[in-house]
Amino acid sequence: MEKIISDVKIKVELVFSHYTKYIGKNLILDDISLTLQSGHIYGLKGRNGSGKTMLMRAACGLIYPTSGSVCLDGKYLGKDISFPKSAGVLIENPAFLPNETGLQNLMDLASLKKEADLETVKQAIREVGLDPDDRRKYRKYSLGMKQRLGIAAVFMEHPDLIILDEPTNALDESGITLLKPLLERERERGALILLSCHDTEDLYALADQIILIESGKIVKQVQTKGEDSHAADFQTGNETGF
Amino acid sequence: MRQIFRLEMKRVFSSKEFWLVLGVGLLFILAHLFGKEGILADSEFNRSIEGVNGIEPHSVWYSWLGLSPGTENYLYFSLAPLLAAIPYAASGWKDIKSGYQKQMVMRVPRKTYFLAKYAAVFLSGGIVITVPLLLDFLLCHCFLPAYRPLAAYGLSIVTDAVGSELFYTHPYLYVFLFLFFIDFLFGGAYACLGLSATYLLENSVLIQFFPYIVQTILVFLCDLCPFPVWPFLVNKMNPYQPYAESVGAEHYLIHLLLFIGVSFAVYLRRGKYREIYR
Repeated sequence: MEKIISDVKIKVELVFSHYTKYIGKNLILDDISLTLQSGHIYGLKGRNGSGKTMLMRAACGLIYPTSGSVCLDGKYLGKDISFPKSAGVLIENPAFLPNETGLQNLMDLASLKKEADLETVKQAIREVGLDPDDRRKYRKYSLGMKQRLGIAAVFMEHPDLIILDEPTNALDESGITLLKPLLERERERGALILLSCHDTEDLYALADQIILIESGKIVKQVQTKGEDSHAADFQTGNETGF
Repeated sequence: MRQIFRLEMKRVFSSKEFWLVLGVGLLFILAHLFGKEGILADSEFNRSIEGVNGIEPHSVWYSWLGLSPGTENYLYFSLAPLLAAIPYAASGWKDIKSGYQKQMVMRVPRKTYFLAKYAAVFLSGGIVITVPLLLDFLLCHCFLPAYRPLAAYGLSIVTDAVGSELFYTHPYLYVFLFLFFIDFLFGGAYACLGLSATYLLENSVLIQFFPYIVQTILVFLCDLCPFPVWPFLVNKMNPYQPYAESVGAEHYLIHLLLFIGVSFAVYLRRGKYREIYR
């Protein structure tokens, strides 16, 4: 039942083609053309309301374009498929059933795709620093614990596409420290990871490419790791608006 | 589909609202059995001597909550649209507001999620309406005999009511068919009518009241029409059929198909193409 994590890396390609989104008369995403590939962690950076979360929603088919398209491995979201077949998504707040424990909640979700068995789910909970045998109901969890459980739900099925909107929200230092190896493991496996983070330092530490977004438009892509790294410029705030 | 339906049903049975409405149903049963005018208010001896209007001995067929015209009967069937919608009709709205819908649709196709939700809401409405009636029927059998009713005395449903022939020849069959094909289906249909208001209303309580509001508006509109169908609209789930003179089986069918068709189309169609922000 558990998804086999083999040596063969998965290949995922997410292509935005002239993606434009209006809500009413407000331009939310402006002619986004972007190609994201597996085995990378892309960090979205921008001010509040710049369109980061909307871009993430667009990436997993939660919203539809006014014009343009999103294509995942040659299949158009909203036309060929309604959502990516294998995706782990945490956008805004994690949402679970308040009267169930963390383990029960994740088992409920895991039962839908049958890609994670009990031991895998327990392992995912341990990896985010929670106790799978904790008998407290979700409603009794602290904000940080809720966030950790949300992250565990994203990783438990080892999805090909991982989307994390502000995953470090409400997390303490130890939580952020736990997140990094998880992301790196999934990247090594070949997953495509798209994340946003309000803290530049955390984003720099987690992502290997940063996408700057302003007023719904991509203004720059910056390599933060490897030979072409422009991280120094980015961190010192030399990029537009930072 | 099976997995998500199973999860939805688990959520139905673990919701407080579901048990609350069954509790209300239990209160109706207690009032009907032991209340001031309840069937056990007098001693069984006196009742059996007096019989029904001094003609026929008391029996289950004159005393069951579904067949004894009285306050409990009137209130139960008048409030049925509300009772059916309380347990789970607002769950679609709650899933959207909490963001739980996102968790589901990322793991199963949208259509599957909406179908499973619709089916679970339908069953929840059907169950909470039918179970108290069934329980009351069984309890009545503990206290009263079940002599076959006689049409000649005219003490129960009128002879031109839908299924009256069946009632006077095979009363058990009539009761079970009415329970499972009228009360269960209309209970489910009312709950789904509430579900269809998910995209219309911005409050879970209003969604739960929506079927009752719709029924009230329909009654008001029908009252203005020359054809007096409003008693049917209020009492269609009542096995006693106090409106029987003016309706036939086709009224049930049209009414049911209209409720199910509209709620199904509105909920699934709007849900399928709706953007998910939370």
